[in-house]
Amino acid sequence: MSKPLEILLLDDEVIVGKRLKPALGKIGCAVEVFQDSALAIKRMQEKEFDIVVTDIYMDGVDGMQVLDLVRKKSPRTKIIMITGHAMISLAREAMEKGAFDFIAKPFKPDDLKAVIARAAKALGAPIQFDDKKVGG
Amino acid sequence: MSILILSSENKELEKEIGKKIAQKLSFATLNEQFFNKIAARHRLEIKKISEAMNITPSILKLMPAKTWHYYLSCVELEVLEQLLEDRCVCWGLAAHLYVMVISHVLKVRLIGGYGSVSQSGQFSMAPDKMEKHIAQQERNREKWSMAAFNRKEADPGLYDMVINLDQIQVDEVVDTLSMTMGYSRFTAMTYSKKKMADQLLGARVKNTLLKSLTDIHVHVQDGTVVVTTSSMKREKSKKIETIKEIAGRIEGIRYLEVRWNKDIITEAATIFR
Repeated sequence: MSKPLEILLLDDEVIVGKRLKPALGKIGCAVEVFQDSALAIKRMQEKEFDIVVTDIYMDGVDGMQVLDLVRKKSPRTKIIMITGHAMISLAREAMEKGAFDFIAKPFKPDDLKAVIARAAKALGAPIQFDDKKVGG
Repeated sequence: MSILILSSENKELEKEIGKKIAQKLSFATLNEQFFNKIAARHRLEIKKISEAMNITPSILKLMPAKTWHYYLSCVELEVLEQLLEDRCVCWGLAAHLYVMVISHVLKVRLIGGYGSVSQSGQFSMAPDKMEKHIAQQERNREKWSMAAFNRKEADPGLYDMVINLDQIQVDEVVDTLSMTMGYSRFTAMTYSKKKMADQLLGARVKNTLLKSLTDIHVHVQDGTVVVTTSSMKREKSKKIETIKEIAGRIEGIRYLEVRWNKDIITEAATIFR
């Protein structure tokens, strides 16, 4: 059996991690959930993740800073930005800084799964996910 | 990949630049030639589509407001369908006015450049006359874009870039825009693709409703469709029901809400009749 995709999920809303961790587990991902960006960054110093999913607006270190840090430390890691305050300038800034994708909240777990599947493919570790079911 | 939309009163240079960039990037082009397909799909007259894209309904009623809005909605719907495909350079269709919120669309306003066009013999006018002609043309476009989308087409705030063709050569513009299109910030992403899908759904709902109704405004967010309309109070229930019935048949709507406002003008006119 191939190695599961290692995902770090950072969002200060507890419900996001609670909802997404089991959903991503079902497509064979090993997910570590954090609400505190400082703790997430500490963990990222210890371990290289395949994918980082991060909220943007958080107390302390925000998602854009997390994006910068991950890009410097681990260029191969795919970073997916999620936010409830999406706007055109923020989306463009995230992509310019090297985000793999940008998703506006609220979204369905299947929406994220589809992006994770694309990221996995880009990493050379494709996973089984039928993204035809995903709307939009 | 991304989309480039050009807007200019200088149709000759707009077309030249658009074609050159599309060729350089191996992108598709989308422009007035697309009216043929729109006409065929919606069974409209090409001449009238062109008219609707250029004139504003007036009391002279060259084209009634109802027809005008319907024709514009057909153009909007078909253009958005095409823009879903990405890798496209678009001009002459006022598309920048309805993809304002799409981050993977680079919107560029080209101003000036009439000197080079007039030197090439395409504009045979004295400079002072040409200046007046351009000013009049710009006023007409402003009137049109305000009536159609409640936006002033020449407002720099609508664009990512404004390029003065009196100061920058065509080939430099082509190089600059081709390079800019390669920036990651203009890459399509889940957020912008969903916004585009929402815009398309909104355009479909508006187009379908405008076939038989008037005063229809549609806003879509994540599949939730809000239709705003107005009528006389006594027609309220009937209009809301009709909208729900017609729009309810359209695929892709997660939730439909109809908001109604009293048509004070018609109401007042009826009272004093």
